[in-house]
Amino acid sequence: MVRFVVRRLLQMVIVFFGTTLVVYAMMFGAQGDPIQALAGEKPVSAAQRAYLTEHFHLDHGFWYRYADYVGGLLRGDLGDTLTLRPISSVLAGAWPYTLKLAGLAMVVVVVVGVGAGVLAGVRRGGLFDAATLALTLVVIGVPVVVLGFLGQYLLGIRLRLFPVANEGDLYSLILPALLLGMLSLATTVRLTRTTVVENLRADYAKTARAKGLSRTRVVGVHVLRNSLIPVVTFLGVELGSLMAGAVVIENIFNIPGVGFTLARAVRTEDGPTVVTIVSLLVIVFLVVNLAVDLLYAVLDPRIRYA
Amino acid sequence: MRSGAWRALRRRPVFWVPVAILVVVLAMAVAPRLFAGADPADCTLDRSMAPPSGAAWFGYDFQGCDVFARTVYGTRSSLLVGVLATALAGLIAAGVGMASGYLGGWLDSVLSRLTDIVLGIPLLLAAIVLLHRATANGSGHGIWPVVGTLGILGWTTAARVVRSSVLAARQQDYVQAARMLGAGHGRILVRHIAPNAVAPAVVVLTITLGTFIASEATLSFLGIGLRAPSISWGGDIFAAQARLRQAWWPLIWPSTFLAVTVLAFIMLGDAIRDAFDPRSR
Amino acid sequence: MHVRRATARIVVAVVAVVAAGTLAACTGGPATVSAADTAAVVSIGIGEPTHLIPTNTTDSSGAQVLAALFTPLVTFDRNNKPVPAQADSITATDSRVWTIRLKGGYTFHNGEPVTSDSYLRAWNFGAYGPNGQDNNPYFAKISGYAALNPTDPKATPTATTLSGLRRIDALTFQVVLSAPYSDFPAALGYLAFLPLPAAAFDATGHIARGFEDQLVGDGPFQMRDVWAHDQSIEVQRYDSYSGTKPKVGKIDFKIYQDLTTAYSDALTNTLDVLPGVPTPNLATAAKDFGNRYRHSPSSAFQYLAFPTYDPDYSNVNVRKAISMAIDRDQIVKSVFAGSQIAARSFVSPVLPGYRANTCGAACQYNPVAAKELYKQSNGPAKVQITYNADGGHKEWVEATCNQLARNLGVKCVAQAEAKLADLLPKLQNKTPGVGMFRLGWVMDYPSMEDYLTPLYSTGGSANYYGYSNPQFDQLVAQGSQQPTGAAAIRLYQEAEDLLARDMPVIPLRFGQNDFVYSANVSNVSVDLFGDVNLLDITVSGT
Repeated sequence: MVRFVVRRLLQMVIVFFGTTLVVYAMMFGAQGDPIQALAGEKPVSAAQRAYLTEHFHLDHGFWYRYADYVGGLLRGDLGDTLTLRPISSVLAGAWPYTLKLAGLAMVVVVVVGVGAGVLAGVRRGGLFDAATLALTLVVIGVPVVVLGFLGQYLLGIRLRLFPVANEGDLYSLILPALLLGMLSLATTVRLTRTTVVENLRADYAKTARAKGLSRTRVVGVHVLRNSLIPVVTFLGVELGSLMAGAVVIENIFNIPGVGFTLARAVRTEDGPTVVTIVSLLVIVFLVVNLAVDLLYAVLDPRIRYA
Repeated sequence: MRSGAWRALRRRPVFWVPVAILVVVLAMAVAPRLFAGADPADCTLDRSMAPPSGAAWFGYDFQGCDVFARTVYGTRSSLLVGVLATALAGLIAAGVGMASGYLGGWLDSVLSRLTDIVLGIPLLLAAIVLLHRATANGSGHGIWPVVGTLGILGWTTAARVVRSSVLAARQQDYVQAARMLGAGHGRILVRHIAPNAVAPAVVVLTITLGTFIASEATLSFLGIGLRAPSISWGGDIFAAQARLRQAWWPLIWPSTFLAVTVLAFIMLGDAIRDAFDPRSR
Repeated sequence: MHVRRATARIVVAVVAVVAAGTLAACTGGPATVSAADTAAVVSIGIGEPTHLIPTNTTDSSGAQVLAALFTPLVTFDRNNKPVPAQADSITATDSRVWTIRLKGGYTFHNGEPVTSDSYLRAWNFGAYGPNGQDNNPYFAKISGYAALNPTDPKATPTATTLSGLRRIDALTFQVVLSAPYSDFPAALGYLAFLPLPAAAFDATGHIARGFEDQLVGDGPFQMRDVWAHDQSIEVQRYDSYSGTKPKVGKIDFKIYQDLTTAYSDALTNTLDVLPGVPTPNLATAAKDFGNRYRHSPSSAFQYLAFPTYDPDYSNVNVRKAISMAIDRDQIVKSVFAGSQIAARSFVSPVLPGYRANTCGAACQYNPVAAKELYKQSNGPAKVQITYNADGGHKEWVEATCNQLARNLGVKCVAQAEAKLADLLPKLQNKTPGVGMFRLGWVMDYPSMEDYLTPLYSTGGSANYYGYSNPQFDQLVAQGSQQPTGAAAIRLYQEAEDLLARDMPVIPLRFGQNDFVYSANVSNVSVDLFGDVNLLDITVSGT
């Protein structure tokens, strides 16, 4: 077990550098004119151009810039944004928001998604099953942006149940978290339902029933535990989509989190910021998935890590 | 077994309903002219947001285009993008997931980490960067850049699900038995393990299909997806949502078509899975 | 924040007499404002400014914040003529040597008096090439600029200060221009020409670390707290201010990434003032806000440009036919809910010297004549309008395209480029396949010259259409060297007439500031530059 974890952590280092390289190359390749992007509709002054070119080594080749960037990372220097703010301070301001938002959304997904999935699976073909199916389809069929704006309009403006935009407190994050969670909710419900149905048919479940265990106990203990394996995998993976969904939702609800910052960085072709944020997102993602892999072993004793 | 699956399918309405829907949708994609009389490119602000009427059952959108005609004509590109990108993603996912889960070892480590990298990079961001490059090269404004981008970036969830199913199936007694009986890797993979992975993979992929059609919308919105003059549901949904407070009909019709098509794919996926799953027969 | 506003009614009368000499200041504490007064908070929606150092600020959000924190040398009257603000007088003998006298008594928020040095220091910093200030080109007219900005950006400049700036005494300085320029006083209203306190700079002459996050200016408001990036910039009244004092105690500039969200916040009374209503919301704004939805003139100018080097569009009659096939009024009515003005001239109506309809028949909607002219001049069977998807232009560009398709019987494609930054290089390189393209212009100061030179002169900074007419260039150059504004305008107008003849661009619309505000505030107005007038605004009921 310890060897497994150590090996994975070592792999993580390689993945991290792989990611920075890939993302750096992508930003580098796609870069039209970051300085013009910064200036918007105005022409850029020659002085500003020369200054930024010098500061970000824009006139150097790819490997020089990449080495310079990684060198900075190793020294603990995340570099500056294109508007010359230290990226570390930008992130320090943004992380808490996204953590809160993603955490709340995850709670929604787990509680509602797994709950509804199990219910739908147990009462397969029933009204509840059909209703959840219909609801998940609606959610899948409508793009995130539309869902976000609709939710904001109906619940925020029309019914005034929630604040329309972020006001800095946890309460104003509930509506965006709900909408963000919706995205993963659909898949979670369907995945839980499918595996529950399959496990109910499995021999062990039938045996347990035949032995006289109550249905609730069979579902609640045996089936649920086995059904959760693919669901947990999915949720680990889904953290990634939550982060990406946060890009849209944070924009709509004006939450100055990581997604918000990333979206702007992409828009302004702010290379250093994009690479740093994406690399950090990948790290978070890797750590979560390591935890998921370890959870496997707990949920399914048949899986052993050497 | 295939004929067995077909026999099981043939008798189920759960199979025929989505098939019927998809046939209609497909027909719309192939020959939109048969369904819509109006020209989707005939637009004028004179009838901007004109409500549904005898002349136009679905009303007119903001630009004064016939909503029904646009929705019908939008079927082709939306469907093509969704199906092709899902096919590409499914192929990659099957390959990566099975190799990773069945062979294990260092290959599993490499592939899993690769999956992690692709998964960790938000789809939207990578799509923006990749498509930006495609258009900068002038390599076309058709559907291929969008299909390729979505496929290359969208396989990861399915791959992980395939991997975990394969991983679980590999431990099963009947697989161990087959191996001891001397069955080759190929045979074990195809006959014994793959059927286990199909069910969860189909579930994920049918949903992926929906998200692809929706992602195409987001990309169109950002100006890097399907480009004018192609018409797509996603593009129209986005255009309509900004003015939802003025009129609902331009939003509701493409959304409905999108949702129904996705629904059909999911129902079809469910039916096929049940048919292929030896345990449910 | 807005919750506190409930108590705002008691305010105002008490305020006026607060001791002027006390060091109310940059400590950020409650200072000397009376308790009741601090309750009058107004929130204004803006975007995240890129920068707040005046010589580096180019976006409207930054400009709005700087309007609170600084006092410019001049402001503009009803006719958009410059009137002295912090300047006492601005005089010149021959439009080349300008003498600027400052009013005494103004201080920065840290107590430092505003003197000639405050200006010279800031201007020299901004003009010095290696400092990389975005507003650096605004100093180009001042004598000695070249020495600070060598043509090779890597070379070290031969001087660190502008030879054209001379301190005369504590409150007087002289500006020598390299050529006569009659509009110089108007240019001084631009934020590149704001002063900075000594505290802004560190020992090496650069902006001190952290200064930008806690700006010290000389305006009616001072920073209440450090700049909370992406969230808010909060300011409060500066009590030792010797100019006109504002009527509210505090202003929170709330930062939004997406203005649609700001609109929703205004709708639910969470935000007090939104200076720019997003286009899709215009249709319902009147219903949502009633008489709290207002317009004011702005200098924005939207136009459709031709790649004049492209054989498809090189014939001036093709360009005129396209112009006549566009029903500007219908687009204004449908897309912008009547909030913009159809443009039939090449410069904004807010400018001294503007004449209506200089474009003549070519800008009148006439589909029949358009089609005939188009056919006669063998216009292309397929046209394209390229636009940037990041500016909210999709709707009107598509509508324009549909009009061209119907009225000229051509195929028209509205082609999106993701960002303006992607479009501009294509224009610079004259990449084929762009077709027509949309561009916009907002002035820096009210002078016709600020449109004519950058947009239409040979090699102008925003002339992406390859338009070059030596006669036009000469008229504009002559105009800017006239001793009086009136003489200059005559020449500028002659130049504009040439544009109507050559049609390098099609004027489409003049923008307006469309703003909404909550019931919590009144006396809201937005100036020519899109900034909320912070001195007039009051909290309702006071």
